[in-house]
Amino acid sequence: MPDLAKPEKLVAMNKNNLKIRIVLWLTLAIIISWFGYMKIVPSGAIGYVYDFHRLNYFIGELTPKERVTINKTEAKINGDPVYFFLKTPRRFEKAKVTVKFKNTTDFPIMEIGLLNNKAAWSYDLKPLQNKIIDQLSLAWPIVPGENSVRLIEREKKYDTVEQFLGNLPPPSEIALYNYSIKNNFLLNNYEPGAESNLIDYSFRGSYQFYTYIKQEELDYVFNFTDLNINPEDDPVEIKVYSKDGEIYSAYSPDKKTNDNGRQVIIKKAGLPEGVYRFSVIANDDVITKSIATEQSRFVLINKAWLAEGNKENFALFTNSRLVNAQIVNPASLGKIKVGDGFLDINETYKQYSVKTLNQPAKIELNKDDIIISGDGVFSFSESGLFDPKFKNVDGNLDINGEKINYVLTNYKTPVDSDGWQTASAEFDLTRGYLEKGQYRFLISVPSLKAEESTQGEIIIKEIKVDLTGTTLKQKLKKYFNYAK
Amino acid sequence: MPNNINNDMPDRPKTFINYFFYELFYVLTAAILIFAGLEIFWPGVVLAYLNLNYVLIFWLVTGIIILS
Repeated sequence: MPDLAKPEKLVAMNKNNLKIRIVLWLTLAIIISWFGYMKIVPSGAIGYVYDFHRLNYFIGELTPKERVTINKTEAKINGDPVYFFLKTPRRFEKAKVTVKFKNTTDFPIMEIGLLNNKAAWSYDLKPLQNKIIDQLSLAWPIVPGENSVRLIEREKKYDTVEQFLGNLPPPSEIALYNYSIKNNFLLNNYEPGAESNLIDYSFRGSYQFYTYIKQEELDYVFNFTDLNINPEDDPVEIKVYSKDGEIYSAYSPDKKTNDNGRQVIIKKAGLPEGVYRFSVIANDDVITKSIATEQSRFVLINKAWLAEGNKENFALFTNSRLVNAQIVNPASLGKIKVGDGFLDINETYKQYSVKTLNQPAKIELNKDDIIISGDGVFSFSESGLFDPKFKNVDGNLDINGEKINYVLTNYKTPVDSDGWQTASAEFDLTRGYLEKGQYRFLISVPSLKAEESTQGEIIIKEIKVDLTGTTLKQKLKKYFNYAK
Repeated sequence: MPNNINNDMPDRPKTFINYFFYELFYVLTAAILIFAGLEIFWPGVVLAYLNLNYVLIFWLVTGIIILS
């Protein structure tokens, strides 16, 4: 009865076909839902791992290629710094970055940072490894504090960190790392200047400086000009900080007119005596032509780009133990005298460094358009030099030579396993600079130069990022509360 | 009437395997369109996990199979 069997077969086949149809379309629905789940991350927590075995969409490759050698299992860092980006499927609040690495070089510091401000090119740096502290921890007594704070003292004196903070020894005996102490730095014998001062030097881009006031008005007038080399907007932001944090900020938008001049006036009366830090945030198109101030103290912090058009044959004084210079303009090539040594700058875009044997050191410049940087401050007069900061435990610190007796740190020694070390750093992504859905990170090994041979090597085995943020439930709750 | 079963469905696949590829082709076509749409609105939502080139190749192979 073949003719009768055919409809039965057809029914069975249709049933099977329906099953296939359901299974296939359901599979597609599950895949799409999974993509949606990974995009929304309802739990508010997700992690990504980049182990160099294959490209990771969320954690970018280490760059630039001149400073890093990547193979299938690891990356060797040849120069400082190297960068990588982090893409997130949505906004998160915190990122915990864990790096598995090996550092067999003599470079004692390894740090990781998140870009906070693109114009100022400033990174929020966190420690991965500090061999100086690791070695000191083995030799000196340790006083543990809250949240992994450690006081390492040459001789046992304090029982708790609070006791140390309540009864601080002379600042010259203290060095900090990844820790800040709010101290009220006061200059002895300081008298407010009777005349106003004109800082008649030009600076390019962002820079920071300290000033000091005592029973006087904080008074600064900045004159800016715009080179307009870059077609983008060139705003200027100035932030003023006291020891307690930001106290004032001013913003000057790019007017986009033919008149490239701009002036920002900051006047604030009734401030207590002390040090105030100014942070001028601008891109490299902006030149600070001059600064008029009532204050007599002006010291540049860490770095300044002395723009083209400055005075010729002028001097800077610094307490930096390592002075770096870099030029981008071939007309500025030449020698710079730094203390008793020289920096022979014969290549553009290359950073040259020299150690200063005695501080303060005099930097004699006979050309402008030079980027000068160091681990201290810079002043245009020797008498005006002051540095309110505590010493930092970095590769330039001579613990015994500088008679450091106390090291206070919030740094955790990396965990050692199977010859690899693992260290983590937490970042506040809400303060990170986000561009095209990407955060930019760097891994820094100060003084490591790709063009110089080094003993040992720095190898990155794995970068892991754990992101945390609001959950879907919290977001919906917030939305409905807002809607009410 | 029973004699004309095949004539009633001249374009329908005749075996289970045929039907599977026939349906798979539709699912893959929809997948490509949906994935492309998702990528336009939320860049990276698909490409972070799946290389669309492989889906396209798979779709093409399925198409060739059902045509042959």
